[in-house]
Amino acid sequence: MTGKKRRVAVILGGLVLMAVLGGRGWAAQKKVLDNGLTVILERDESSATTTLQILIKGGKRAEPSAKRGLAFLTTRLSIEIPDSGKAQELISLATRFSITSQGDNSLITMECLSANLEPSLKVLSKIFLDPLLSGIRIDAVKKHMEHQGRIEEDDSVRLGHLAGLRAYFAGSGYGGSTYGDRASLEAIKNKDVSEFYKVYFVGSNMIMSFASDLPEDTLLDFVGRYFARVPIGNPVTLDPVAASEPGEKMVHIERDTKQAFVSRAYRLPNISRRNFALASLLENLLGKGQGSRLWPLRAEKKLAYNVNCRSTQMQEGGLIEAYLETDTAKTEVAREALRAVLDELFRNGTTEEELLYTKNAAKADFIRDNETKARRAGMLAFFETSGLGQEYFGALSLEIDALTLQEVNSCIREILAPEKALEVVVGPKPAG
Amino acid sequence: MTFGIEFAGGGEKTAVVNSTDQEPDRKLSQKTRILLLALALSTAGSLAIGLFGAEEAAKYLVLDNGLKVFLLEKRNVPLVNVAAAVGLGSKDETAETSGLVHVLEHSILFRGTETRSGSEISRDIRRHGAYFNAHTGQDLAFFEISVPASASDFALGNQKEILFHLRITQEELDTEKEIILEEFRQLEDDPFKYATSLVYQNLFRGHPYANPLIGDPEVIKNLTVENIAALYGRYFVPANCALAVVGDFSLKEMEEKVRRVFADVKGEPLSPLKFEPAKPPEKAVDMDVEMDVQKAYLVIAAQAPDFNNPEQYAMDVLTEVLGRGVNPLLYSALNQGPRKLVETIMMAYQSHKYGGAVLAFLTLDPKNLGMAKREAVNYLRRAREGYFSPEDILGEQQMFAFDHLGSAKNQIKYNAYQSQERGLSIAVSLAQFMILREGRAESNYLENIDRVKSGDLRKTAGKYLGRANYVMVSIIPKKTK
Repeated sequence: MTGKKRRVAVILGGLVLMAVLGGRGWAAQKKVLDNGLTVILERDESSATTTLQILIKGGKRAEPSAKRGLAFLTTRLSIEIPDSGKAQELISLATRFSITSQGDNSLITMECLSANLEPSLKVLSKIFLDPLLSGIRIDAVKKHMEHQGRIEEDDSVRLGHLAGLRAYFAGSGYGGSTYGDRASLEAIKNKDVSEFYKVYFVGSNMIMSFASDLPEDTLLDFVGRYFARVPIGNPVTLDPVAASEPGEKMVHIERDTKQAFVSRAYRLPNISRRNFALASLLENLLGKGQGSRLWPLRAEKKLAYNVNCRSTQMQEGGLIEAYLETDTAKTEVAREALRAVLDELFRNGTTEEELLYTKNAAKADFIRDNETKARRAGMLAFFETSGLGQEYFGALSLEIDALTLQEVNSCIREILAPEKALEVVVGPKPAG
Repeated sequence: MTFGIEFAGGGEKTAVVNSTDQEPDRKLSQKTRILLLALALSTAGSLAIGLFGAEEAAKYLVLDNGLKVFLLEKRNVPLVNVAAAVGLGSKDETAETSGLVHVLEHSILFRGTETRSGSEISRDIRRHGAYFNAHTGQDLAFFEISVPASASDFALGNQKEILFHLRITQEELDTEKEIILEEFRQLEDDPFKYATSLVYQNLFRGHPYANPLIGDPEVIKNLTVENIAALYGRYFVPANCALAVVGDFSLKEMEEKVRRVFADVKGEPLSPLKFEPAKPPEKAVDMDVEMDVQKAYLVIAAQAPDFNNPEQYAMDVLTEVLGRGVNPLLYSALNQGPRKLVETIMMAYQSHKYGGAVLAFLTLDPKNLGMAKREAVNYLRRAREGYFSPEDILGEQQMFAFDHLGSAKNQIKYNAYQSQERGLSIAVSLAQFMILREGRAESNYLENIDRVKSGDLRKTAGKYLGRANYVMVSIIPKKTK
């Protein structure tokens, strides 16, 4: 072992987890470094590119209630290019960075040619380990976030999704917009950002997930060289998310649009290996393409071009939304039709045959959705931080196969109970 | 599904001009275009790229009935992806038939065949874990399916049946027409998609590329099964189609399967219509459309090289330098010092058989719209005078100059590599390439990109951006709000 590798100082190393997905081996390694940093490495030689996902635990849930947007703001500042020299280096390398902040974590994505990985990591680590958290920069990012928040509200589907989250998670960061709002952004002071960075951007609270054609040893060597300085910090324990029921069972957000967004949203239970698989199945059963339960609302009832179901799974609960976008004149008909589909499924459950088909569709969709390095690296990190373990990536199909008809129908009765539904409509105010 | 994660990279989606059914997010993007060009097919059919690893194997063949086929092994994921391109697009319509191709595409995808009803096809799709979609473009219509590798026989059989054995009743057609009208309303609520549709109608005024992909609602309402059948019978013949199969299979076995499934398809070869190259607009267009939005959405466009034009390489690099990647020049120009005119910028270059378009998509505060338009157009016009590489600068200043040219080349290289990751995108690109590519592809796309010099960027900028009549469409908040 070289000196550099020793500095990496693997505590738990060499655990190679092979998972069989559709007969194909999917291998990823997990290591935890001396400074508490968890590193996940997936070798994929299909292209000469590398994706690195840096997941920082905390996310929206870690934000104080009056300071929504703090997680995104801090994450954005942690990769803000401080001077023209570094900007020049990054421009010539053509390395891309992007960030997001969700319920339980924030995520920094770096994508580059593998040939440029080391210089990119060098620049990234310099910025990330010593970010310039000045008032001018903070104000500039706040302005950008305010803009992005408005763009989010200009989209009925995103607006409807936010309304669902707000209703079910009113007292938690889960229920806020990634970008906060004007008041919450104004309430965030410079010291809040510094403190958030100090507490959450530490080794024991972060996962670095690579998907690359480069050998694992090379990647570990780079991590040791450029990220050994990340302080170990303390693992962060977050307050539990209080369960809440929506105060109103119907939310109407007025927008003067040609179509109305009509959805029924239900709360999902806390994440677990079984619950994740069940939610994946339910999402697929309801709304993923031809043959799904919502499909006849399009193909037979002609109510929409777009029918869909979307689940958002977080550690302490989530949301599943069945929705369609319809001519505003058909809003009431669509509401009733959507309710009928969901209530029928609640009453009668699914069948052996439908379950078998849905399992096939859900497993294949998971493979397709994670065909790219960026998606896989993010998903591996998400599974790891959610407590499912990164090896769950390969085990999900087995988990889905193991679900029985009784289990699935029991889950449907538990989740889709009509009295638990929240209706969301985004569109013009009803006449009268 | 969003597993508590939304990938920020997804925010950079190109607002493309293809109409995609069923799942609007999956479209031909700039990345797809890059891959398409990267996969330079020689006339002998060999894959002259070197982008794919040694494990991948490829074969090009033409069946006796004229169907062009490309097979590519991609064995890292247990999927088989089949894409068919048909030489029929919105350019083949007139004002009287506007939307006919789109309606036909819907009918083929969602309605019945000679042996199965639409609902039976839906059930089969689900049973096999398939993703099934189609989209209409200016030049071509695409039909794609992705299945677990064990279901490749189903995928091939399904594509043959929907492409060559359509049977639709007037009642089914009327149902599909109503769904398309919903799609039209959805378009009208989407700022960038709607603006892009209007941009095309103005940028290509007088040329068939101005025909809206989605069609004219009034024409659509009056379409009959006879209209659909006539179009279908003429264009859906093997010699007017290309089939690309990409995925986890052995080349030899897949060739046998394709031959077995498609060899008996018959059809009279089609004499394709020829169109004039698109001419630049005679005057500039500046159009505002009100929508219930809080921010302004601006699309600025000019014409650009066509699909087979060698200038496409310089235009690809120029688009990258000006409006993509890290700190693009147009963004910097509009946000100098304390003045910040725009929040986000993304540029795309779309090439078609008879013309092309370069488009800039901007989001901004509505109060900055007027100045942003003026400054953006001024900057694009002056791009022909730009310095893009340290080599453009003499003396000590050279040390401090940014290498935008090198950066763009790296970025394009990255895009080309990355686009190999998605099997279905590769299949769609290959199918498109087989129909649109004319003559012999002399060399590899990335080699052509590597040859682009700073002077080529200035020349291309001068020709396409310097004196162009720009088309600008802004989506702005309603005045009553």
